[in-house]
Amino acid sequence: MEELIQLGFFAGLLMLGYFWGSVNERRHYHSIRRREKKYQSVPAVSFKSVPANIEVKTSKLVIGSTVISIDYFKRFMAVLYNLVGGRLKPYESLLDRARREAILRMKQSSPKAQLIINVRVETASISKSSRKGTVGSIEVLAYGTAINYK
Amino acid sequence: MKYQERKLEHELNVSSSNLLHDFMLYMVGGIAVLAIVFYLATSSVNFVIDHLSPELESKLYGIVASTTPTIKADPHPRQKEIEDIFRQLLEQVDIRGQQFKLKIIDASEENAFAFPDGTILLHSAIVDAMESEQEITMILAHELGHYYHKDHLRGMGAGLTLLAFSAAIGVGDSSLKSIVTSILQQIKKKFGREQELAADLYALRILKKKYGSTQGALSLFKRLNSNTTGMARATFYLSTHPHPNDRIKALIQRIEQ
Repeated sequence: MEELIQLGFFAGLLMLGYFWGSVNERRHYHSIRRREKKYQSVPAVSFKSVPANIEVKTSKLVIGSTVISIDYFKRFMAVLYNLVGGRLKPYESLLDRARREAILRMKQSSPKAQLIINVRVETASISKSSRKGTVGSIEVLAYGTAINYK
Repeated sequence: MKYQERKLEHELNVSSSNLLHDFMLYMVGGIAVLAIVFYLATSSVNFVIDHLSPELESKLYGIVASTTPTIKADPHPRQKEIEDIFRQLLEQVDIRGQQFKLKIIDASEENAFAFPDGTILLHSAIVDAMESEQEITMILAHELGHYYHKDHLRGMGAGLTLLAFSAAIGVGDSSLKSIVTSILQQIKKKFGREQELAADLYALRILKKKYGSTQGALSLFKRLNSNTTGMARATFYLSTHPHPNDRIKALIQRIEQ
């Protein structure tokens, strides 16, 4: 009986994770695509210095960061993929969303910038559990130098 | 240099395959592989146990017996009567290398146990429920059936397989581990219930040999059954013993044969 209850809880959590995880992801991607179109006119590039023909009027540091968690279903799927190897599909969308969201927030923090140079993206895993090898959620930080020219 | 806006339709960094499809595939495949390996492991353990030399067998029994707790018997008015029947019964059976002891303790569930060191433990409730000599023989012979089939050694084998499996899966996530262990526990319990039915059939053979009839076998289980009708069948499915109804059915089948 105890095992059945345990199994039931597990299955329930998996379904909950799958349902809400998919809904959240779809919503997030929808918002990301919308805002990416909106901020497309602000190029974020990885040049270290300003191109020679540009005369800089103002420059400032811009930062965007985001923390996203994986859902229960995807975490379980990641364990299964871990056993057999291959692409860790459940984490691909997590990282993709976080990266794009961080860059968007960076752009949003300085909407009037004409160019953002020296853009860097960094990832850190945030895991409150002490268990080895668990990645519950991630932080992605994007930063660069926003520039307005004369 | 002119900045050109890029089209944003491509999602190159995310695999487009369906996770739910992979989930089904992995679960079904995983359970199938697990079941096959578990079946092979337990049947090879059983094969080894069936072909043990008597010396090795008694050595192994010695290891299992060391796990037996010390039990203090409570005085019961029917102790002597049951011991006499037990002694007669022992002359009928062929079980090597065991020194049997009979103990009765005060307990309200109708149950009896066979410990690996040869102690047969009866709860006072089942002693009080037994009405005829045949019924007493049935219960005692059932417990002897566990020794006859070497169920303790098989249990140890199954336990070791289970341990090996949990250790192997221990490398993964703990939620996966607990789920697999609980599935394996269910399989192990099913084997346990099969052992109980096999012991019932053994007891039936002994009863037939001793008395020429098998009346006592059914009457006791029928009485136990009337005490448990209120309980859900699912509870029995998960417990270690078969439902009395299933036991009666199996016994009737065998008697007809």
